[in-house]
Amino acid sequence: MNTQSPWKAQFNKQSIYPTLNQEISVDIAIIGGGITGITAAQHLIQNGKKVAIIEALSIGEGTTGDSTGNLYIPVQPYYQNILKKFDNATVNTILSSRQFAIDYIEKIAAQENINCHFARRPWFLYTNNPEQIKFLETEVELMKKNGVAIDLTTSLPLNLEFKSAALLDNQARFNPLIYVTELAARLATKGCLIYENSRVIQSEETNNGVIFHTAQGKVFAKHGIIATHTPIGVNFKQMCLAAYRSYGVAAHLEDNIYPEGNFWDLNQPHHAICTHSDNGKALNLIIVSGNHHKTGQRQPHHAYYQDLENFLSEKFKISKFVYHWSAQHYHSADDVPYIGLADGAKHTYIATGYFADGLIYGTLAGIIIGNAILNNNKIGDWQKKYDATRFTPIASWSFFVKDNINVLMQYLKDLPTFKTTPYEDIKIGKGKVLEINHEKCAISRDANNQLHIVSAVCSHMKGIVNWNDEEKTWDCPCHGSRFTKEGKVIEGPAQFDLEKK
Amino acid sequence: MLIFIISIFILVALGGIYLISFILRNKNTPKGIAIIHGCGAILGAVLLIIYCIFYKNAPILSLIIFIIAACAGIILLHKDLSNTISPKKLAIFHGVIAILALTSLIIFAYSS
Ligand SMILES: Cc1cc2nc3c(=O)[nH]c(=O)nc-3n(C[C@H](O)[C@H](O)[C@H](O)COP(=O)(O)OP(=O)(O)OC[C@H]3O[C@@H](n4cnc5c(N)ncnc54)[C@H](O)[C@@H]3O)c2cc1C
Repeated sequence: MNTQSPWKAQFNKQSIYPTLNQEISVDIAIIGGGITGITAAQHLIQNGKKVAIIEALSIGEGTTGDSTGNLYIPVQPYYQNILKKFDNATVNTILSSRQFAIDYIEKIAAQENINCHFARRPWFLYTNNPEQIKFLETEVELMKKNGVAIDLTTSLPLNLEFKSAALLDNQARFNPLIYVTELAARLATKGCLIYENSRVIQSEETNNGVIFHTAQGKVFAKHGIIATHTPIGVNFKQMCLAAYRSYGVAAHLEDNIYPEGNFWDLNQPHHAICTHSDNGKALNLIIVSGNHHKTGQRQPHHAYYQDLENFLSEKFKISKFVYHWSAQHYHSADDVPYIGLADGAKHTYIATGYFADGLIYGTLAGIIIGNAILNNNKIGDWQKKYDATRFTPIASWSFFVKDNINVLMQYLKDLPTFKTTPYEDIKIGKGKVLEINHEKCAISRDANNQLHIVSAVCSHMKGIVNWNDEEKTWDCPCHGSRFTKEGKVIEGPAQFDLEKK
Repeated sequence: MLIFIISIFILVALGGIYLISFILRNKNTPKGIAIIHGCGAILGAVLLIIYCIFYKNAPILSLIIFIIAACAGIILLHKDLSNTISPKKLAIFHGVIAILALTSLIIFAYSS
């Protein structure tokens, strides 16, 4: 079983851009080379700006390369919930802007001649639970009312049991890793400065712009875009965000029949089934994703991958499970992403809170922020609807209270044990937080029987990290920072590694 | 009631002494204890405010000093969580002010 996403496993991507080890000056500096950062760069370069992208890992190696590559206008929180929190104008803006983004990706792929396997295909919503039929129908009605060509259907191209289902045509799929990697390569030839393996460890606003610091270099820019999926460092916005880990499993089917489509059920936890090709030829994979939980808050001993494998096996004749992987997404407090100037900032933009719908939202964010910088408000009130500084207490309060109490409870667990537990009995592949000399240490034993001891105190906001048995990582339950067993930052808001002990 | 409030503040102070021992040794404070310490202090302060509202002869000075200590405590927690400064000096300031407040409250209780 390959433990990477199909895109990463097939691409076998290497870093090809240099590390930032000097001081540079550009019009716009972008932190993060995922779909948000690359789209923003594309939009700005196209409009004659000098742009630099600073990426901690390699282009597309974040969540973009771990997504399931589906492009669709529906959203995970569902439009009827957004309608309850906002109004129909907001629903309409989100629908039309998401449609625009799908078309934009298709246009850019064609214009730049990127063979990212973009193909149009239908999206389905279904339920086998009579109690959910009303919900499904309300969603369909709401989208129809807003001009979307969605309707109820009596058949699904996959053998799934359902009592009610809806079909929305003309959605799409693509290979997200090829899209961003190839687009970055095109941008580099147009003068975009790209740096990989360059983690930004400090960002500051000055009167005239921003300065981003890496370990060995600095970028001065008139504007900065923090396209890191969740804002890095300590940021008020983190109180309005929740980090979730989600899982994906991909398999070959015995009958080798893979109909085009993206199929969402209405269960909790949510499952999305889709078909894909890992080699750009005929469809050859069935993928299920979902089963998410708060990052760093796994149920002990729960086998998340096994759950998804069982889910697929119950429904289809599987010949082989080929890939399983996990990735992170961030929920916003009021169900709408935060895109635009950061709180209190004049030159720094953020884009976050996409749920698992962020290939589209990320594309939109690139365009919206690009337009804000270019001061070219051609696309109506998108900026206003996605405004990152919006104050929506009524729409946000239940999330805000619940999720921040959850964070508080995580901190409350950090109590002294008053004993030093021996760590010799930690088994291979396992990790434990133990107290050594009155300090919480994250101790794990790797496959070579080597012990790794790092501080268990998250370098972001001092939550105590928890061992992720499936990924063999240390995950912070407070704001979703993740670290390797050696303590190196993988993702999330943390900018620094866990202290070595 | 004043004795009850003083007992709460003494327990809070014990938690504070435990926490400051970590800060002075450059170790991370256990955040669970910090939160319990903070909640205890809030409870004590609220009771003290209620006492000041209902009794004519009230320890207003102690209350004011407690509020200053509480403000320092909030800043301390924020600075600690956001890694902005080494909170040693602020922690000592917070502790000294809080002890001052507690002492003045005890003196008030036994002199009135
Ligand atoms: C399992 C799963 C499946 C999904 N499937 C879909 C789907 O089918 N369709 C869809 O629309 N959405 C999907 N999503 C959501 C989507 O993948 C993400 O929302 C989107 O890729 C986010 O893009 P991004 O560019 O904002 O972030 P990322 O792709 O995560 O890019 C951020 C980049 O910033 C870099 N970075 C972070 N910190 C620093 C730093 N300090 N310095 C420098 N660089 C830094 C990271 O290394 C990373 O490369 C899925 C999400 C999950 C979890």
